[in-house]
Amino acid sequence: MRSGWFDNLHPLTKLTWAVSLAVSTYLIDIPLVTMVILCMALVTPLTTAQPAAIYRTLQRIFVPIALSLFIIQGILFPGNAVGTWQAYGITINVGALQIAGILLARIMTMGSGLLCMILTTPPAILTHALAERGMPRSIEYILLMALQIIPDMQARAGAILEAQQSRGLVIRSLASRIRALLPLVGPLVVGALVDIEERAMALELRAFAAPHPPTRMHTLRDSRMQHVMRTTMLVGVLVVIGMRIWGGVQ
Amino acid sequence: MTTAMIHVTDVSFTYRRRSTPAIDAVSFSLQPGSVTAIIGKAGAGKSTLCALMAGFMPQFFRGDVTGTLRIDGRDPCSSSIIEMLPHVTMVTSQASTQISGVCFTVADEVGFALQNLGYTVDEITQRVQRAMTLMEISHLAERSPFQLSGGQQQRVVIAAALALSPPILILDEPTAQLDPPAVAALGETLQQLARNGQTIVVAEHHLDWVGRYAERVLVLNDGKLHADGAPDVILANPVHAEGRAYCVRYSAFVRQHGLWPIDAALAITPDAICETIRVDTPLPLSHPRTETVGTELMHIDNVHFSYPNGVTVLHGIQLRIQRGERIALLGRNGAGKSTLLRHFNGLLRPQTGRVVLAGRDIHKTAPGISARHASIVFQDVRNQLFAATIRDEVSFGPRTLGLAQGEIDQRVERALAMCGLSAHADTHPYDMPVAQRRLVATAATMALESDLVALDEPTAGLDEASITQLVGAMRHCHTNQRTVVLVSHDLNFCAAHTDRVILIKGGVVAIDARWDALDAHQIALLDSEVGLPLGFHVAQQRGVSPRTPLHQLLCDPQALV
Amino acid sequence: MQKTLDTLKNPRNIILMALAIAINIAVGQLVTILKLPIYLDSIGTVLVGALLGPVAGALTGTLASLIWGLLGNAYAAPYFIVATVIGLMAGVFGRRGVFRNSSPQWVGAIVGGLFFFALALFVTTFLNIGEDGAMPAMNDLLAQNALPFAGAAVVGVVLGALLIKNGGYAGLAGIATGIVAAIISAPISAYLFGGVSGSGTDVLVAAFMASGQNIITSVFAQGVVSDPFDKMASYMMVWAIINVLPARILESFSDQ
Repeated sequence: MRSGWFDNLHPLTKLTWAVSLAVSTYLIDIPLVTMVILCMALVTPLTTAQPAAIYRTLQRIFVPIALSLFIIQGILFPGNAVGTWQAYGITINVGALQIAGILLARIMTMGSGLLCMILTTPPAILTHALAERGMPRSIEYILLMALQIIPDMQARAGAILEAQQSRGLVIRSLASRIRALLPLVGPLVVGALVDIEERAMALELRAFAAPHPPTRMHTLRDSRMQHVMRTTMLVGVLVVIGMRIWGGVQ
Repeated sequence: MTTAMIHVTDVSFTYRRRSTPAIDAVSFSLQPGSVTAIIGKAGAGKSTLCALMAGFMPQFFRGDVTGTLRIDGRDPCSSSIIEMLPHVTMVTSQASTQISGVCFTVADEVGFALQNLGYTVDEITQRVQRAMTLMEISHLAERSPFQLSGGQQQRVVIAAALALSPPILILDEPTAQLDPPAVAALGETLQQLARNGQTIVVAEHHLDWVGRYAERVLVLNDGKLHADGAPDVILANPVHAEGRAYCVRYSAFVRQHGLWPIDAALAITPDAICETIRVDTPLPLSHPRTETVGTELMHIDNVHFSYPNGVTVLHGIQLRIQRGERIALLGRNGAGKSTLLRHFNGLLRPQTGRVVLAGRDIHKTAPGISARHASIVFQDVRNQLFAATIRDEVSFGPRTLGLAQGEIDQRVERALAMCGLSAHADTHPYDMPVAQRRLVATAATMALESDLVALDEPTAGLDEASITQLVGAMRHCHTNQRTVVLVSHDLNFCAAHTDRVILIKGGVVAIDARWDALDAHQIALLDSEVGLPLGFHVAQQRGVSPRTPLHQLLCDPQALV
Repeated sequence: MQKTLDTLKNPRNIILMALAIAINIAVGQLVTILKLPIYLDSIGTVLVGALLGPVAGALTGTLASLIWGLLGNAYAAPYFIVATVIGLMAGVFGRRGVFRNSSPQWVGAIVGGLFFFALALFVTTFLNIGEDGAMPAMNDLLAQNALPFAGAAVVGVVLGALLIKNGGYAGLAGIATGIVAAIISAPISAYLFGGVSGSGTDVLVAAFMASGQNIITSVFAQGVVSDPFDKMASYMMVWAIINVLPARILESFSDQ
């Protein structure tokens, strides 16, 4: 696997980039600028190790959203009658379609930026970076533990379905499916609560509650350049917000 | 003369809001470099004693401690758990719940405690490597701890404890969730650690394992120290032990039949049995197993099954099961027995071939309906229990059948009585000791009164009293012409309580025979796949040919009951 | 603040919050398998609120949204405010005992009846708003649709008595939470995503839009139709589970 330039950035640099893109696309109301920002967001995956995977994920999320958006905004939107176009008895609102296009560009900008950040950053690295900036260690633990226990919990949900059916739970009609909720959700939650004691004992035995900060086995790579990049982006975002509030950019 | 690592003098512990003490005036001391087992029935106080020695009282588990405890020279009750970690650490029975969840690799998990204690990176790397080498998991270092087998996870958890290099290691029921190879490997590892000078304390139900690996046995009963001595003395004496180990039962049985030297003590390991048993004695008559003649209940015809990921698990299973049979379904992990089990009531549908249950193709029936004919109790009972009382839990199944209230009540009472739970009907299932929760789940399924009931690893982690109840419930099914299928690694239990053995290998039925009709070839195959029950092992070691009267006697199921 | 830190120091609480987030996701998946028209994907958040109080509940909601984001669901992240408020409200209601106390069955019936009546009223009002945005007169509406309204109320009473049973207080609290959730999520949804989610609920939004409403009201209407029902179900599920928990476990989590 080749490693991409973007992948190796400090997690906070990637996060700042994603957030800057999202904030500026929503706050700047100039179609041309929106499109430029969209292009920047869509180019970002090319600087990662696996652009194809990111584009595939983007496509999977966007196609249904784009469809809904054009139907709801373009066909059903009542106002903004800049011009209409009729075919097969359906009235399409051209002005509304433009609005839908801008919205779609914004949604894609936000999605592309965040996905690049998420898909190139192992969660432990991201939480490590946030913990270095003062996020409490217990929150880091909650996030990491939740992420890792999810597959386990999903497997248990499947096992509960099998176990309860094997002692007579019938899942067919709507009524039976509603009745099945408690026998299925109950063991999942009660079982998890019962486990908590043993899990808590295990954490105590790993010196979880030690008073001083833990040793980190890896140090995050940062650089002067990235520091400057982050500051620049933050200043840029502040300027955009400022212009939105006090300036005339609408 | 070495000084004692663990020194317990007249110690009692009472949980907050309880009137009776969980540990009652217990005294003993343990020397370094030994494996000591604590045995006793469910609820006898074994886990409490373990937690007490590891420093969990009175902060984590609230209550009153009296007496004096010295663990490696420190008082665990006035120290925090962190202060005790350099001296003692503990591993509990479910490996999966002891994975911290915070670490993404095995190496990180093993070093997690060291990281929290602020050791330097070099020191951590060194210690982690040492601990992983000791537990033979170095090859797993970069894997996620969540993608390991139960046995591997347990090795990771023990390695994480050893990385702190405490002189004392306490294990609470470490064999409960493991398969036989992992159980044996654990024993060897603990003995090795003891030889290196560690003090090992193990609370355990698995008496044969205790007999094989412990040097000293403490027996707890209602929180009191009931007996304390060498394993051969304690385990051979039914008054001391909570029950009898299979080896002890077996040697008592063969002694009764004149195959044991009069002056020899009962044996506690298979090796000792093979050594001591006399196979040259003239034979008394043996009693053959009862032959079942029933009508056909299930017909599995040429069933193939592949999972969506392309792995084919069943390659043409052919089986006929009669009413009232008692069957052991055996096979290695991954051989396909769980997949086959899920075809019994349509949790999985055959991709080719068919399963006919009580005259109906399961293809056409919802699993919950098929369960009225073939029900299953899975191993992890947490996946079933959700009611506030045992009675409610047990009545869930019968209620799904749409029976009259009177009939539901009758079935519930029958199932409760069968599993010895009548006196606890209004107790919360989770207020029962872990071992007995399995009985609650079993009763809940038995109440369906289905024609076939399959039990998945029913004896795992069960104490002797609970196993006796389970046997009673199985006998009740048998006398009522209901079929019992055991899926289990506990071969001695299977040999004692089933008539027919089915071995699944590579997705096909490799052996399907009565236990007493197995030939030499089949016995060898069984041995190489899952191992042998004690009697078959002894006969094989002493060169007794199968299907001879002597072989029949050595493999008599009564020897293990 | 000190109390928040104390909550976060207890390993039991930390584990509960982590498990709750995983429960949200696993239950969401179970409901999908059952093909039920609800999500129940805040059940874990509500559970934490009920057991550990508002602050822990709110924190769990926030972190659960973050986890959704980390799992690649980038569009869930902006809704973290909604999840946070749900946890917070569950905690506040928890302190008032809605999860531990059982209501008489008639409360359940009344809650069900009121809920269905209000839902019917809301939907018809919405569909009858004129092109000019004039609200229809309540009397006319009731008079014109007397039969459907009475029907809805009766169905609600029956369903309430049968399904809500003794969880009336929890059900009521759930409905309130659902309405608040709908109010908060509507502007987020309308402003950031043009009111669409790319999922089945878009049909509802489209239906409301077709009746001549603007985006934000349509999204709000969609939320009001689905959210209170979903949150009511979640709250009642948590109520049912807390009522079957052994006392020993319930005691090990103390909110106060």
